[in-house]
Amino acid sequence: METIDLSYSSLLIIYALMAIPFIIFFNTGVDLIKTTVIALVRMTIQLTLVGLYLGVLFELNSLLLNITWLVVMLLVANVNIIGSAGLKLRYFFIPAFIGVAVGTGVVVAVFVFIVIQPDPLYDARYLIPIAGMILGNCLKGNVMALERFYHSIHKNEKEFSTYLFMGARLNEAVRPYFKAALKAASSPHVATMATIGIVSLPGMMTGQILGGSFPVVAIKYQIAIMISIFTAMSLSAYLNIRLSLKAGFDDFQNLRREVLK
Amino acid sequence: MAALIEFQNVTVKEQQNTILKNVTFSVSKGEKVVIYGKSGSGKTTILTTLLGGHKPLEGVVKYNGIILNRESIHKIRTSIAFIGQEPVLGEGTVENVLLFPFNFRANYPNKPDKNALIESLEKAGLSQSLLNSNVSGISGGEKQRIAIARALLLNKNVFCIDEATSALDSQSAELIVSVFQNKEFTVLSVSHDPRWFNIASRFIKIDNGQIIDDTDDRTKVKM
Repeated sequence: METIDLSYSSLLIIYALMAIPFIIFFNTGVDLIKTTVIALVRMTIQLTLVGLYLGVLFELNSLLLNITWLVVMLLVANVNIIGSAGLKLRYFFIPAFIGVAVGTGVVVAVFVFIVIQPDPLYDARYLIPIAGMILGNCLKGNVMALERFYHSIHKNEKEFSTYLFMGARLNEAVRPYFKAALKAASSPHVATMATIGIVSLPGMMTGQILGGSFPVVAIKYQIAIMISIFTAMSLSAYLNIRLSLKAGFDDFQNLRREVLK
Repeated sequence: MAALIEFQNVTVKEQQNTILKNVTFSVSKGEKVVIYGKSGSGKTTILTTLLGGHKPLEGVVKYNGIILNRESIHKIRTSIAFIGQEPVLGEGTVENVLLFPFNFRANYPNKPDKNALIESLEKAGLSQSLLNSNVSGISGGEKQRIAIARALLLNKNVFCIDEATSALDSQSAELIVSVFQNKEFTVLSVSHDPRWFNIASRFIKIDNGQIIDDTDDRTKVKM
């Protein structure tokens, strides 16, 4: 079964749909038209470039090029996570990079190298989109985990100091905040898993069906990707917080205020 | 007598503000010291600096001859009981609150039994019937006394006490202060309550982050 291609003229019809939100924004005075136009242009340019690059990537199917692309994705994700969590990059860059790389790397390796086993194992057609989906979906969870962890300690500094003064080691004093941060990061994913297929049809599954896959194949991939995303998010958020403690707290285990933006 | 607590030219800064400036004093074992002065003068910072809540920019803090640093901080914290002005009790029943510090590895071995919990409540002037009450429903004064009972349960002989009787009625405050008269206890109490002055043998006045008076003559104390 072949996918019906979208011609450029038909894609213009889709772009024309944007007139509807623009008219709504204009009539209701929502000050978002300029921002939306910029976002639309950025999306178009970014996806076009990625499409071109992925074409080259799939064509060459080089191990070195694939790894380079994965590292670039990790770097961009890392900068995004730390900035969105309201933390300073220079303190958290290395621990967060390791946390996200290990958290997503382990799961991507299991998914691609053990479960799918493409030939070659590093086949860009599998490795890049799966790594991209897992990483992209881990972003929000990691931002929430780091943001919740550091900012709730900052907000409850007196309580945190009391734990230390009562004899808690750093790992004991941070435990309540650690638990709350991991719960906040995981809960939306748990809710998504519980409602997927009923409330929404997931993107990967829809894409595969449109691409000609049998629904059963698409479902198996969707289950695999959902579990992988959840595992990678939990592992990377856990590692991110755990590895960042040295950067986030001083010799006396007090929160270093300068790490917050 | 060798000093138990020593501050040698300690300067503490927080976000460009100097909170303590060249603070030097020492406290011997068993001494009861009242630290007093205007609000915002740096009194509480002296207590929290001893407990590693601030890292001195200059100077040295010593406890029992050991310099406060990364290696010694945990040992020093586990030797001193801190009672803050606004008690941080957490959630749950009074029993949970009293047992909370014993969840930490350093305090595991000293986990008290029910009798010890009741005894500590009674020392703080509270009834054992409170044990099963939820802390969210009790008064500010009771909360402060629960924090004191919890500090007593930790079985330390050195106490850093920050305005711990400020929310108590006269009778309760009298009872609490008398508990700390124990000659084994070394007490650093930040307070303006005359009851603490009555049991203290040393009076340190702080102004603008500096010690402006340090005397053992209570007649010279000017509030």
